[in-house]
Amino acid sequence: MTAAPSELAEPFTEVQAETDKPWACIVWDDPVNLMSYVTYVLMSYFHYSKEKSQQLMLKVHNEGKAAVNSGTREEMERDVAAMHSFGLWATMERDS
Amino acid sequence: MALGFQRIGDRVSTQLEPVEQMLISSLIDELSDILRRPDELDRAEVDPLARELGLEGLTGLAPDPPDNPIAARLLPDGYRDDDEAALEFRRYTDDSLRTTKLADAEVMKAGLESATEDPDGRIEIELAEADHWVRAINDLRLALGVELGIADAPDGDATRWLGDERMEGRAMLYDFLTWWQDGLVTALMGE
Repeated sequence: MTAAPSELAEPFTEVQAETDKPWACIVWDDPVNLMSYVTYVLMSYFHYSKEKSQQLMLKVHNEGKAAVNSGTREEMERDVAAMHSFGLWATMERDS
Repeated sequence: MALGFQRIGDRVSTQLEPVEQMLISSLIDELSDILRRPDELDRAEVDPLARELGLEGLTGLAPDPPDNPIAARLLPDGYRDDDEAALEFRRYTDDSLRTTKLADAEVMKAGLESATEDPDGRIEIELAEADHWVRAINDLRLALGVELGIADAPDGDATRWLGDERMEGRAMLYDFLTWWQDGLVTALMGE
């Protein structure tokens, strides 16, 4: 499966531009979680469009991880805990 | 033989053979035993108001990361490279995460039992319940994935468990749940 890099890069610029959101929720690649399921989780929990969810899922799959959201530490702890409830392998880190 | 998930209005429906229903049910029981808190802390010590407000982590003890590899995968650290923050995160989230997973498992198990009452083994799930199901199925796959060492051989090595009846059964169940979950996700996404 391939996806054009230009299509993948776009959604992250707006996230990174917001300097008041210093933490990120990172989803790591996992050999068990299905690509369809990861897409579904991103759509269902973050209410992202299907396109954006698929792009993020592919970034996780191809690059090993992706920042799926950013915000305050409390917000990201909530997101990471939610990802764990869905069985996604997620951690939080300072947004760079 | 089992039928995959189909979307019918505001429901999804599937069909299982009795033996499939039984195998999955017993797998749910195994996993629920692993997910129950080993010590069950002294719940009496937790302030009821704190529990109601979802703040029991404030009064509860900080739980250690689980030794059981399946529990460790299902209840992972929230931070990498920062043990102190990871422990603090676990202190606030461990109990509710276990509770969520056990509740998901319970909803799915109750649904499976409805299959035993239907002559065709048919199960109907309201969309409102579907998130419980999809998460519970995923937890079962994650647990089997740990046992089968999927992380070490993600592309699968079918010959790996030849001769080991128990693990062959686990591998078949894993494949079945993969197919079944993908069908549920597809039905939920309306494809």
